Amino acid sequence: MEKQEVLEKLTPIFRAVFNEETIVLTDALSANEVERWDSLSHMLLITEIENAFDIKFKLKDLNKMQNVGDMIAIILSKF
Amino acid sequence: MDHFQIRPANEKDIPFIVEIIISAEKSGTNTLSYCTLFGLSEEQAKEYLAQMLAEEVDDCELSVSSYLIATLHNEPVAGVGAWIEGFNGLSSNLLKRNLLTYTVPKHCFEYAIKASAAVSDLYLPETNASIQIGMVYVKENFRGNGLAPQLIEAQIIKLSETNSHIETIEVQVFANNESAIHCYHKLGFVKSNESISNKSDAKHFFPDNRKILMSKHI
Repeated sequence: MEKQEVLEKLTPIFRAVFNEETIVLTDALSANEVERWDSLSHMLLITEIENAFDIKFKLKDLNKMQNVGDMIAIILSKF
Repeated sequence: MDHFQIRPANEKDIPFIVEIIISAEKSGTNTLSYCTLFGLSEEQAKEYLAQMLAEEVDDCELSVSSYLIATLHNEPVAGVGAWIEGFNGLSSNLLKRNLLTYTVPKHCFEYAIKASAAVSDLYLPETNASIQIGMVYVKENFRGNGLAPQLIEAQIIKLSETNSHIETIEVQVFANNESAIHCYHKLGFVKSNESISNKSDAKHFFPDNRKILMSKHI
């Protein structure tokens, strides 16, 4: 799986979870920049990503995710 | 006279730490936010708390390593959780969030989203590199022995001895918990911030709709 493919699959998930159709994903994007990205919506985001990619994050994966770039790298490492 | 011992918690204490967390979270009420937020029964909440504690994540309220336990004849009777905020670069709030994400089923998060306004209203950020007093509990029959202040002081000594740069100790309490606030005042803590939720359902999810941050400088 390529990074672009991950991005294309992630974008609609972010837009649906945060209910914001204009979100554009960049590597640096983090919870600080998205108003609705709080602890509870993050939990939902993670489970939606796991379902969409049919993967299961380890706890240490979750602790490494500081931004979208980290998230993409971890997803790519699962394939 | 009863002779209490204080020791660090270990894996075998997990059921007692679950008791500490549940009692401290209830803050003298019957409202357990793990149940009201995630739609769980108290038994389910206990099960998930035990699972999260078994993950051996350090530096948050769901870390066995954060707890000191007071025992009498080897039986745990009181406990206090405390840690250095952001010790390994991740906030305790983030560590707790990740443990919940990893452990609790997805439908519980969907349930919890309904409470997100009240959750964010009451959120008070922890100061990085401060000592956080997280959970305090004394079994009912052993109250009045000064165990809570003894354990809090022991935590402060333990954490500040190994981290000499620490300047602040913080504790967050629900405003309804007058006995805890009184205890922290006696230990030299003063109110430094507060959060209030005016959402009508805040008291459904939490023991109170007002939370107080108390601080002490070392």
